[in-house]
Amino acid sequence: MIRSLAWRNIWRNKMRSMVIMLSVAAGLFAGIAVLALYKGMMQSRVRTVIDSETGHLQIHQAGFTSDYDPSLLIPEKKTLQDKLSGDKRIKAYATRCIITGMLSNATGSAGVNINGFNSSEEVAVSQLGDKIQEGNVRWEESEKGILVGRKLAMKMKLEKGNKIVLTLTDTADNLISSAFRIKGIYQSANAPLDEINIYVKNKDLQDLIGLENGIHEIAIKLFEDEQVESVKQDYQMMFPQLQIQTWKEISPETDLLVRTVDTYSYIILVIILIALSFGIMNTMLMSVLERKHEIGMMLALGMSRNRLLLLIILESFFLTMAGIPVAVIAGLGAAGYYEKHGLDLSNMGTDLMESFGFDTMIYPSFPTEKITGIIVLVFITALVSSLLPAWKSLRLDPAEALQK
Amino acid sequence: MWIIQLAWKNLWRNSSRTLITIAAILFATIISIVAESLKAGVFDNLVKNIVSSYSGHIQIHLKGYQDEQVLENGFYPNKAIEATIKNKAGIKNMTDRLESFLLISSGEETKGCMILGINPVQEDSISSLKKKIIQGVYLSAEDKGVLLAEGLAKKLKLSVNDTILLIGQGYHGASAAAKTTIKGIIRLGSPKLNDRIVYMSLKEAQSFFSADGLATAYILLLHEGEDPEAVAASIRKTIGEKYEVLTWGEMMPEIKQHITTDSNNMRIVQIILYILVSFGIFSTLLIMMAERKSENGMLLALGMSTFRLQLLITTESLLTVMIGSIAGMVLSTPIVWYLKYNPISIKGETAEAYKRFGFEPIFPASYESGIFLSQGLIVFIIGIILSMYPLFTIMRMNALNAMKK
Repeated sequence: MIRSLAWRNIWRNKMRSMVIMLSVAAGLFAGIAVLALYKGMMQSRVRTVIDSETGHLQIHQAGFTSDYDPSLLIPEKKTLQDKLSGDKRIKAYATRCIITGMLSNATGSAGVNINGFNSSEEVAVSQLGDKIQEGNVRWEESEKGILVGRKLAMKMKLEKGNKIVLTLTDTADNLISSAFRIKGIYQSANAPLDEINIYVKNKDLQDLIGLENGIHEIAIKLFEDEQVESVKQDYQMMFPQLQIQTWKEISPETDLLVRTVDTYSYIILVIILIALSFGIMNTMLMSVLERKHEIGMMLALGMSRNRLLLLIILESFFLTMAGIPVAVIAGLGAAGYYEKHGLDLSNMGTDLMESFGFDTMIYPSFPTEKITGIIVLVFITALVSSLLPAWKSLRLDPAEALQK
Repeated sequence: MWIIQLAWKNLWRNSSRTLITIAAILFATIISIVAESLKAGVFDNLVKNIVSSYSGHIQIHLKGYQDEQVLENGFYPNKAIEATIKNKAGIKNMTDRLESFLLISSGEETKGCMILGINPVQEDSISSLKKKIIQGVYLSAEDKGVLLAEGLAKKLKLSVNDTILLIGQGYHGASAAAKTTIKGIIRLGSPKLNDRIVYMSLKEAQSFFSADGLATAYILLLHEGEDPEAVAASIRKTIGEKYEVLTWGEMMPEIKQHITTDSNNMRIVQIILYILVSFGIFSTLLIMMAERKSENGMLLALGMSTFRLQLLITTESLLTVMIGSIAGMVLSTPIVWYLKYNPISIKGETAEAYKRFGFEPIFPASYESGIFLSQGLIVFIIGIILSMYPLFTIMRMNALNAMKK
């Protein structure tokens, strides 16, 4: 009886019910939108770091990263590589030789990190191919080619086809110089790195410093971001003497920023729920107030206060129920649309980022894994906020309420 | 004038209804202010942590130093310049530094590192260096010893009171070598700094590099809420062509980009919040109009012009919205104040990430008058726009139908 009364009450004043329903929908939609935006933002941030800078994991001989001693090669390279190739979680890996040295031409000289790379591996792991602005990531086996960053090229006045000289110390501490021809110029999102990182072929570098087939670094790309820790642990168990680092350890700044935004978005979610509960509470209060006469009548006719309480809570319940699918559908639609087309923020005062060639598009992603949690939260919020109006109506004095 | 009086009387004729509407606006204002203060606070705090770990908000160098960081691009600090800079509004602390590169040797191992010649007292007021000491003691102005960053000390396998050898190139090619002892070990937040920094008193550094009186940079820390760009621009205007004035954003563009992106993206969240509070305000207005339908119909029937009725309702809305948003601004003050001094502390892995950098794992709110005013104004405008709805209903109102029960 109470249920059908609540149901009818809702449709008696369509406008008011629509507003509450839409408030609930807007609240839930806001929650979904915040989480979707956040997820999209973090995905792209983490993607940039993982896909173009660090990879998911990096393996070095212990102690190598502290001073880049060229004699600290990765031991048991063969077994390790076999394991990596056979691992189903690993999408690709790249082997690298790394040595610090000096690049010089007629303009002057600059300190650089010389990265030996293998073009097909590197294209899969760090998207080097996509970063090339001029030239190509592959060249004739016999040629000694080199890739330099745009920033370094501007500083040293380098152009594709130029010859430069690299000076470095080999494993026996001898100073060696060798000429290379610039085969391409690349640019990544991280300009400071572009200034110091240059790329030559693994083989050229190994020959030059007498490494034979040795390598210093293996960067690994996984299929799933979530498996980083488990892969790390597995390999650490198998190769306890190696240093295995996740992208979070290699780039702690990124981790810090991601976590800051993560925590902030939860705070915002709480604020949204509070805003929602005030909205619902106000509207329900208004509606109780408006129906003072009617409620007084019901009380006067002998309706028990328990039933009245139930009536008002049920009304809130129905309205919330009706709002939820609206929000989920709108959320799915909006996330789906923007996930494909991107949300352009370039008109929001981001001139600075533009000038650095930074991406101002966000591609939100529907927070499937959190949707149940947020629906439950919105539900609880709606019901809790109907308590005050319900209590208010219980305290009505029928005799007084009936007076006009 | 009578309109205002009538509107005022109308408001308090049904005080609970008015109070609910005011409450809707009030909550909207409080929520917008708190959300914005938290946003500003979180990112300000991040920036503060980052700049105070090394760079300061603003650095002043001799022109060309940023591109070529060598002693030859240093300058001689003098009282006149310091006075002009210090005169600018917004500057909290200022110190000069001598930065250069050298090799440090423990006898067995040698490492390249970065040396900072500092004024111990002023430096501490900028980067709270004293607190970062994990072993040994802090420097005094006349100290001959050095402070070593933790990561560097580990690599060289050194600890407090060990003797080290410093080798470098002094000013204008002079040779520089010295033997000294380690006074203390410090832990610096950023792993990059922690692996390569040595602190020395400015005087010692100057005599080591045969560069008496020379400095490479003035480091400026600003008061909270100051805009580094604005302060830098104002310094640039007076200090002349000889110097370059750089903000932290210009020195660390990638971090600046990340923070700007994130805080810009959070604006969308703010817009979502505005939509939500609009719903709250709108629903109260809607119900108010439904409730007052017969009353308004009566006024029209008695011969009040539609325009006057609209004017009356507008005045009522204006009063309500004004009371609501002003009260919201006032009431949010203690909340924001509380959140500033009792910041939300974060736990779990995020806290760990903060601690790794030597940052306190807290999210304080920012207490800036600009936020109160701008958010109050935004909610006020939202309220006024939403009050167009009653005007619209009155325009379409038919007195006879409206009075029917």
